[in-house]
Amino acid sequence: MRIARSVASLAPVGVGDHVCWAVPAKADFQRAALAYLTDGTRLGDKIMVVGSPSRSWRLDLRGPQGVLVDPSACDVDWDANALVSLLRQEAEEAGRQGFRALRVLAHMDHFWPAGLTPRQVADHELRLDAVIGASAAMVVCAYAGSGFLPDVLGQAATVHPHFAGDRDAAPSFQVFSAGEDCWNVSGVVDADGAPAFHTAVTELLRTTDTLRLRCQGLELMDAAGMQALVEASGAHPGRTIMVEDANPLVRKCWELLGYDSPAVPVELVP
Amino acid sequence: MTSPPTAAAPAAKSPAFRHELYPYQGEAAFLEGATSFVEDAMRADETVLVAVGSDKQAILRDALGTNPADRQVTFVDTAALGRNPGRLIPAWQEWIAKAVSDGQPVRGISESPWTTATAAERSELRYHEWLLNLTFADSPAWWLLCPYDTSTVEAAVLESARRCHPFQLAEGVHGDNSAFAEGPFLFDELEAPCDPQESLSYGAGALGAVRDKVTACATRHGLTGPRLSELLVAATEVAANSVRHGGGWGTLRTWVEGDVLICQFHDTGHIADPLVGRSRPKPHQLGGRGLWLVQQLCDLVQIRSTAEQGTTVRLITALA
Repeated sequence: MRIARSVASLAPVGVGDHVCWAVPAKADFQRAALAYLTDGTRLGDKIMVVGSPSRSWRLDLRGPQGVLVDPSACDVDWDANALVSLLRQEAEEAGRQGFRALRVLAHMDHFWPAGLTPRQVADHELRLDAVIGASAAMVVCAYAGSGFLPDVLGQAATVHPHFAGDRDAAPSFQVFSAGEDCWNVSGVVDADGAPAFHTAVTELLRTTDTLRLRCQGLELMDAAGMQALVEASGAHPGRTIMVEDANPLVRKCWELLGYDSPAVPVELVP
Repeated sequence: MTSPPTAAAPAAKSPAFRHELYPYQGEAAFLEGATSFVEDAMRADETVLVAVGSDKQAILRDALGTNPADRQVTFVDTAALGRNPGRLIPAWQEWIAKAVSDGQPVRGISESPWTTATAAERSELRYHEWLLNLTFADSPAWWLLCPYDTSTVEAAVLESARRCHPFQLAEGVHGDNSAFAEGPFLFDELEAPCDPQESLSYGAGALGAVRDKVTACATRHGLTGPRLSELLVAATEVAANSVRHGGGWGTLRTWVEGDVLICQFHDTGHIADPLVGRSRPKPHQLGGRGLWLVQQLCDLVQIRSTAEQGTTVRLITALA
């Protein structure tokens, strides 16, 4: 079972992890990224880098044990769908080749187009997470603060199960895959995070009639968070959200706010 | 002692809601006024809701005996609402709505626990009485009798009650109350904080820091578990209101006074609606839920808000 985690460094990354890495200063980034990748070669992982690797890394990314994808050097259009497909394909290939796992470092500033929106980030990262959660892969998405707007960075942190970086930048909640059409919600959804939560849930609802949100790890959700959930459901009429395993506090607040009504297409279930 | 009155019909120009003060002295006088009020209602085939303390409930039940009143008189459980007067108005709204939906005229008797309430609770109970006029100004007609035992209630409470009840039962007669005064409610000054002046400034993105400060103070004084969690939701709501409606930021102070934890939020916003947070929200209502939730989760909420001085909200939680 995947459990949300926010830590300062990349050190504990394991198979199945999908990490939003709030990229530190350049020297620290180079050191930590190289350590993450060389750990992979030591442990028998296939290495994949999206973006440009540092020349000083001396990693072989051209042979069977490595993959280099540089979107800026590709002739073809490169988008989120392409990365999700490539990841699935390479993870399967790594397994067939006898590697323990596929270990990915993605420089997101090399990948995303200009004018990126929180909605695009949520859509892409959540789809990516579903693939990672179901395969022998680990992916670190490196988000450089200088390359993205604050709302995009904030959104990115909420749609990965794992976060690495300064505590101040850690997300208050995380949404991540728990299986087909089922997603974990962990942490605290409050007025600060409500817009990002609304975006994440709205994106998840686009592709399913019944969205299951498993909330064992949800500590608290305030009125703004609950309103975001209800409004997201309203954006897709006819679709339903099932909130599972919510704690007594969340249930009490939900009822006090009058959302336990047949008119609301969100249902709290055991 | 004055004999209990035979209820006179309300004046021709009575508002739909008849809010009536009944100053009495001692248990016998309470019984006389209350029973005559109930018996008048029964003769008129009206429903009566009684919200008084358990001791008064017992003597009133005995006095009424077993008769058709069983079907017409309902003793409501105010204790289940907790001590926060901020939960009384929605409770009365629900009780009245249910009684009115049964198609019968409604009367009520409401006596607050003045002798056991803390000073802060008495202040909010007085405000609750004033808000009743506002709440039910446009409601279906009903008649609420508010007994006050003048031998135990402090003078300031009684004076406040005289100002906010348009009618009174005195000398056995239901009539106008000449002391009634329309106008803004006169709040008690809040007691000065007794913390070491440590405050946290918060703005957008700092709701987690607000919860951390509340948690630190609460756990230092033994408040943990579900009651702390509920306080954290309330604190989040109030701080979020500062960010959204109160100028974008606010300050938080926390301290313990006696056996209660007090969390005080201040911002530069102004809450113009005195009834904010006192009505159950509708499922598709946009906004206006935060202070409702706060009232439901906290032992006591004190809100002081003016355009000149901004808004101060105190969340008071019993530590015991």
